[in-house]
Amino acid sequence: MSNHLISLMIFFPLIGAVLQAFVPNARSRWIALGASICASICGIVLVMSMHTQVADLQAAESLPWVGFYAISYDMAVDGLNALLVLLIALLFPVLIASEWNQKIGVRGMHGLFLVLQTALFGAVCAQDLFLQFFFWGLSALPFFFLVGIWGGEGRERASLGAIVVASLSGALIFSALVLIYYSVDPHSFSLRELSGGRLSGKLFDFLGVELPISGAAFALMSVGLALRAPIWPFHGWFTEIAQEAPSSVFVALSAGTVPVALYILMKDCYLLFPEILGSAAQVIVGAGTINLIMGGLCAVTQRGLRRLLAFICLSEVGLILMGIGSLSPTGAVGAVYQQLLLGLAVTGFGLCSGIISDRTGQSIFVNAEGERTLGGIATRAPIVSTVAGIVIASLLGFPGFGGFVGHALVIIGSYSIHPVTVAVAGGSLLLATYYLFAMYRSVFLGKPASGFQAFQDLTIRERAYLFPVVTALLFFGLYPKPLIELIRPTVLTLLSTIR
Amino acid sequence: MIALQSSLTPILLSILILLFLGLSVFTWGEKLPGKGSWLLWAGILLVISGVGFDSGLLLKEEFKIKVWMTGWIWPREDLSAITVGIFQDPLNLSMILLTILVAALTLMNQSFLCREPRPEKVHAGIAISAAGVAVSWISITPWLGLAGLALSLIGGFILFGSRWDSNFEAKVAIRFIGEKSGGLLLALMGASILTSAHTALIFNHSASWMGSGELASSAWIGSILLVMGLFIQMQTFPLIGGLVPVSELYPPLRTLLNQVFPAWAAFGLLVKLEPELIRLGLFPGFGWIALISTLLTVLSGLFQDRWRQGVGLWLSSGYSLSCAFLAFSGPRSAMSLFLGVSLGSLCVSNAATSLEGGCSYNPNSRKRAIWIKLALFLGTAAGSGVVGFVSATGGLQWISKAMELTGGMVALFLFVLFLFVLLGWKNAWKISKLSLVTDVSWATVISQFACILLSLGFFWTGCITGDVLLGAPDRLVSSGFDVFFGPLVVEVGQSEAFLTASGLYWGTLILALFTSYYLVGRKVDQWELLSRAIPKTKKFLAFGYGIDELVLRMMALVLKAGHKIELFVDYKVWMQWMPHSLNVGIKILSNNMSGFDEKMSYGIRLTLLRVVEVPAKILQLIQTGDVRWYLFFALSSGFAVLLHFLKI
Repeated sequence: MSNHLISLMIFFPLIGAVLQAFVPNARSRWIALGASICASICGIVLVMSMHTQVADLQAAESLPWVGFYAISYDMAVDGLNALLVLLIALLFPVLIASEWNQKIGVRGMHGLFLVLQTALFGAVCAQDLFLQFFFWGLSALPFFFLVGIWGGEGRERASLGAIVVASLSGALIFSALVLIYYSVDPHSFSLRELSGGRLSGKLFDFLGVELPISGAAFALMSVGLALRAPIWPFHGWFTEIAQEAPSSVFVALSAGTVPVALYILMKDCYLLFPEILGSAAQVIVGAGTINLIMGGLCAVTQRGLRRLLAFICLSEVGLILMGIGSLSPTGAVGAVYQQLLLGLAVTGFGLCSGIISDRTGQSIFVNAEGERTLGGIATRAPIVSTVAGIVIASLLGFPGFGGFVGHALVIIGSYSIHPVTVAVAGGSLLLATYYLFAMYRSVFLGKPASGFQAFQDLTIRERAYLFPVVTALLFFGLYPKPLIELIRPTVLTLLSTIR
Repeated sequence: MIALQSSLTPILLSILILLFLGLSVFTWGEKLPGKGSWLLWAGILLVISGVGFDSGLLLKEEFKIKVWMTGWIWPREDLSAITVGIFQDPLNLSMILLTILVAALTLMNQSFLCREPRPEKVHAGIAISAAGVAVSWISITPWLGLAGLALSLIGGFILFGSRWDSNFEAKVAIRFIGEKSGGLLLALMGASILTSAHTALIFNHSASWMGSGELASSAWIGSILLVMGLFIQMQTFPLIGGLVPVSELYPPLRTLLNQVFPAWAAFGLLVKLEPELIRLGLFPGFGWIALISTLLTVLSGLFQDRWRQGVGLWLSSGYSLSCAFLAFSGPRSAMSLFLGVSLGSLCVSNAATSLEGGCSYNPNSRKRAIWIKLALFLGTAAGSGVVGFVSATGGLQWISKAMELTGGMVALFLFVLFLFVLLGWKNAWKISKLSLVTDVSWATVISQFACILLSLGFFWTGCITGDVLLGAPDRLVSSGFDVFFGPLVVEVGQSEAFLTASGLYWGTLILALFTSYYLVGRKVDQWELLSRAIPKTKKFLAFGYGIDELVLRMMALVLKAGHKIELFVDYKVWMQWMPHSLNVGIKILSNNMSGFDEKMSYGIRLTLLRVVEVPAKILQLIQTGDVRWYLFFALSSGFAVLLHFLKI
């Protein structure tokens, strides 16, 4: 099956970004949205046309790019990345629609979102390490401008922090790539050629000490991705961006970049380093456990919606890492599924918090004295309150809501291997019930705080862009079977090579 | 006999429609005529029809149980499968019918419901919660059961939607959903751990609960978490603090949606889990925990000043006592007390609310008040195991089983039973003093008597006395409990013990009734005087043994820890130290590099200068005439000739 859907999906947004830059604002919005939706339709058709129960790569497209270095334009989808294609397809039209009325440089913002969409689609579908690195690196750049131009008071500092971290991350990942590239003969960046333990037993000389290439490359790559995932304690830039970036930009970061980083970590580790994965998995699970604890503990103290979202994201990342590191079919499938659901739930939460911030001019719900600064939204704006309720139920993993599937599968898959981590996850979920419901009470229930009386419910446009997010959260919670059937064969095949 | 179904049964479809109607009323209820109550009635009638249709089939097919199953998240045949499905047997159908009837009886109190600021939220809450309980009872695995429990909790939370704009009600609502969700998550975690031991978790199918040898601990831990999560739904000690704040909501509604329905959803799962819990060895340990919890809950209830908390705690203690019954004497006796106390407390709560309102005196209002007081005492009797009510059979069986235990444990059992019954009657005496008149409609009065009717022993056991006589000489029709749980066998050798148990049981009940009358029923409230004499103890007990304060302190510690971590990592390390050290580091490096660069440039300049200077000086000497150019030329030629010849 090769119908160029992947290329269309990747380059539609880029073409749209260029086109919309040359037309007036009124038309540019439609072009941007149109390009994003076209790419999304390609993505959705691509996933829907995939064969279930097939572990192989599908819809593959391969062209030589830089022949001298054996770099190729190699794109394909399989069970691991199909859900992320869906997520990105859903996310970006929603984000563009949410910034429809942006007054400052709307073309610039939409253009950057489109570039980001291209970059993330590319990073997800790339089957060549260099190509993956290229798109992954490209995905860092739009954030520098999006935060630096449209951010809050501390935007320069936040955007600088983000680009410095991204550069450092890029440098580490590139070092890993160089190590891998020169370790095989003939040299290659192709994931297909490098998979199946081709790096096993290979050593390289570093200051007179012989080190295993797998171990070094894994360390470089995982730290590089941990910087952008974000994994505690490399998350400081992330929480700073949460505070300074516009809501839509932070949603793009937490719902788009973070799941993609986790996907790259999972895919590259499973494919490239199967022989060290036994011990590497312990490190991954350890990082996940720390994320769960720290994310939960820090979320409890939050008084603002944005930073709260950042720590919720941190905690959820911990759960996904737990699934990745479990190396069990159930846990790994749960981790892949949770990447999608994390993206959707974070999108819903972030957009709701953006709407509240726009209406009230603040995202702080409890001030330094412990008094509520919002409140009473549920009776005046029932739709936004219901959407927030559904998102919270999904984040907590109520049965029938999206998060349940991922949470249950990760716990089922991890318990027999890492019972202590599962206990930590349980504690983290209990903490989440506390802080999420406390936030819900402060923001949506009770009497409105003084000086905060009028609150308009969702407009038609807001309903339109929140509808797909909420529908997806409910649909994927109630009927996960088709997606699970897509993921399972790929995960089982990958795990069988590890064993 | 089991019949496998290939599609959804009428009852499941009707429950799903009720859920959909509830969600519709929640979303659009404000704009619907009559605030959507007619939609709710339509849903209720549909479920009753569904139950009727499926019950008819069940009778026609001689109790052939219907089962429908499917893999939800993972294929059903695989290990670690998350399976959902329904199990349609007489017990499940009866409980669904009872749930719907109770919801309908509550809806009959329109005069009260209309006083709520947003009645559509109440209607939606009732529909969603009732659908949740029904789903929970009909489920064949804990997964769907827990989904039903989640629905019943969501319904209970939506109920508060009527008063979400009050700070106090918001606090109560969040506490309700927070605590119960915590329990739900624990139960889900337990089910997940059980599934990780490669068990399919199908009720009535023991093989599906078997874990392999090394995974036995998983099965044990998973079961403990599952049971703990379900037990939390009973809102008994240590979670009684949530019952202390007095909500402005119509009390029977709060009783129904915040206590009865979540507990029914959870208890259904506990009853179905009972064989596995016995096999895993969780009984009777769980029973002892439930018994101690009952004791502490009852003690707290006895020291409550207001009837709302008293009735709430009586109901909670009744639920935990039912759990103790389940552990010690099986599902039959547990179910009987559970039903009795649920229906009885609904009746008591309804009666108390009717009397609390008061009105101007007229013969009609006086007459209604008398009927309501009668309903109040009958409701208390229904929940306290009085002869003739369904709860009686359970209490008696429990005491009979307790007599088999060593060490005089029966005394403890009787003491707990005595306190529980005492709390019920204390509440009743106190409520009866509220008012002599009431303005509630006859529909409300009838709804209370309908609850009492449903709690009659005859209704469930087929015996007038509620199956408390040896050999059941008063049996008029066959027992529903026999159909649900199989016939009750009392061996000949046990008859003497049964009589002793009966004596002890009835004695305890009568003693509790008279004690309550002596303490509270007379003009001077002796209990009130006793409470005043020990104000600190009373406060400690009434406010839930200081558990709330303890939890608050623990949360304060968590907050402090979180704050410190955030302050250190996010603010100090990332926002101060790291940028500062990077800045300083880069500056130092830059200065050093700059100094090095300067030195190197100077060196290069100097070297270059010297390299250029030597030939330049020579040329200068030639130019100034200090060195004759021909001499320089001759010397160079001579040197070249010499070199040439030397080479040869």
